[in-house]
Amino acid sequence: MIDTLASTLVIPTVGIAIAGSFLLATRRRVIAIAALAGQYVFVAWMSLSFLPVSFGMVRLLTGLLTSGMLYQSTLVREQSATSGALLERLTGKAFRLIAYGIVLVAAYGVFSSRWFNIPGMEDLVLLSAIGLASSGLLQIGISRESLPIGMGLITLLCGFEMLYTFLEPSRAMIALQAAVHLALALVISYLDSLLPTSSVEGDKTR
Amino acid sequence: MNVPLMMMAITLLVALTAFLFRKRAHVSAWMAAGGTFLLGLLVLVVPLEEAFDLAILQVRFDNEFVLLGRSLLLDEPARGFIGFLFLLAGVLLASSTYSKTNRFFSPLIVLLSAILAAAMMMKPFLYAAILMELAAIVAVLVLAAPEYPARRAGMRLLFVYTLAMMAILLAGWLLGVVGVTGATPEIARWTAALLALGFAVLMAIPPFHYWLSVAADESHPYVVVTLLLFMQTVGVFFLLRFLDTYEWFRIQSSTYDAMRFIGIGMGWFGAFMMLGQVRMTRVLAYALIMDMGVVLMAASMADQQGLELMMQFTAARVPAVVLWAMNLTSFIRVVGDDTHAKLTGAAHRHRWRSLFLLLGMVLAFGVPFSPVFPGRWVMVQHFASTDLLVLATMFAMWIISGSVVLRWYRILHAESAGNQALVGREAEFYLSCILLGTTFLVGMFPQLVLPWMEGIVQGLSNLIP
Repeated sequence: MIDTLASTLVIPTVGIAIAGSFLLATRRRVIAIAALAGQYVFVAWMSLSFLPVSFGMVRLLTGLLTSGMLYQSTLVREQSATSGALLERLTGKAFRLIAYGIVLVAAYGVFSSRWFNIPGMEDLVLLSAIGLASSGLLQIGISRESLPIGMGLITLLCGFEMLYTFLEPSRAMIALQAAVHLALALVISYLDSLLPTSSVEGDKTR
Repeated sequence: MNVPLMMMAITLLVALTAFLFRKRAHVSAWMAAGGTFLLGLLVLVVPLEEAFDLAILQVRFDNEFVLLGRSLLLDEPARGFIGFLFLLAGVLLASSTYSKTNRFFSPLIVLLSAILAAAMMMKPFLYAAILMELAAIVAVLVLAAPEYPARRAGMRLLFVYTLAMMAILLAGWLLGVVGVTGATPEIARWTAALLALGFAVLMAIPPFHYWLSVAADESHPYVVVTLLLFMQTVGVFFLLRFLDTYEWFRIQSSTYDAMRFIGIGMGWFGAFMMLGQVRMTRVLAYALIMDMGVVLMAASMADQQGLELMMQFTAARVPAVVLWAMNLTSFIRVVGDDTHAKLTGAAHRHRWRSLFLLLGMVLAFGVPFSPVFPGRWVMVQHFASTDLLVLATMFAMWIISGSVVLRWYRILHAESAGNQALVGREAEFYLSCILLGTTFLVGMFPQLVLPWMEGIVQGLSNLIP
């Protein structure tokens, strides 16, 4: 079954793209964190094609723990983050989705130009890694609050790590990367908790 | 006994103790300072890899700890670097006693020292980049506190360090696994670009210093200075390690040319940015950027003397900068903030604070009898015959720094209401005297301390055969 999963790369590629769109478009923090968790699941799935199962499981567990930590910190802010006029919310979403589409096209352009030509790496893994890194950068660029920027940073890291663990698949690397993800979740939650409630309520943008 | 493991365990114990006493900031800071200072001495004096008798026991200190197939190796250069790092942490923590930083400052700085020490011992050296990312995460926890919610600065710091980690990991992989030679110009270009990005972040080279200006506004000045000193110091160590480890990087003349031009740029940038600031924390931050420019210009000498000067500057600036930062935070506590408006005329009421602050500034800028002056004068003599642009930059930095000191002297001594002097001295006064004395002592007798710092580079056997 693991072999079948490892060889099916289309589903995680599409899954990563859909999770990325939710991460960017939604204003609800809980949905964004659920999308991040989904993204982690698909990244772990994709990792099975070039990493041992145990490494993939570590990655999955780390992702779920990271998402759980972010979820805990966001519970109190959920209500305020959904405020704002309906029209504004819709135009904001449309803008983000269009930007995401453009970034994905650009990522495909980078992929098809074979700029990063890594021998032995599956095309879909490379495409997903570039897509993740690009959408992470987009999210960092267009967000204003700590949590979405932090999730963008985590997405960027996921993309990079997919490339890098292919190049250097060692236990130490996987362990250190897991530590970085958990520590990032901790510090993002902390920074988010520093946000005065009044400023969140008054802030119409993410 | 395993020294790296013992060192990590003791550091964590010190951090835990400082954490338990966090509500009594003075106690926490002094304990952390004492712990890190002792660790620094321990790292420097412990005999490695040789058995000796201790009472009835025969003891041997191993210098390598293996974990998950990778090792923490306390070799000679790492030993000097780590010893210096812990001593630096000790000085910064002791001086933070009266700076009213946040209550997690001491334990987190100890933890940060442990992570940075691990980064310097890491083999393969490439993995240190990930530890630097972890260090940046701890740095954010120090930077942002409930009373100083430096969210923007924290996120910016995280972002740039994540970029640096990715760049250094990829560059290290290209250098170590793919192999960069003269026959692979495309890979060489990529590697150079990635390394430039990585080191630009680690040394806060503009424009990758952009977290710093926000941090200077949002966070506690002493915290900003502490982090900048730590991160830039580790950046210097990383640069030396990279030069020592990777031959391609070391033998390229363009590496040293790039350092010289970046150093010149940083010198001018830092100097001009200091001129127009209305907050003194920003002046201090830009002074440290300017200082790093001097360090890079020294490195560009591409010889043993240049490398020794790098280490000398890294150490010699510490007492003056700490004196400046400590008295600045002291001022902020009594006048409210560090802006031009609040500090106007403040010297009349707070004479000794003003005196120490201005002396800290003057000495940090490298005037005669300051610890950095002998090294800077060596550079002037060297570049007088080889590169007039560097020479002009050095003199311009002195002139502009002098005008910055004069400007702040006039601000502090301007006429304002309620100019009667306050009597009474606090503990900070005595701490400032000690720092000032140390600064003058090192400035007048540089042979006491600086050869030890210069000696650290001797362990880099590829760099200095």
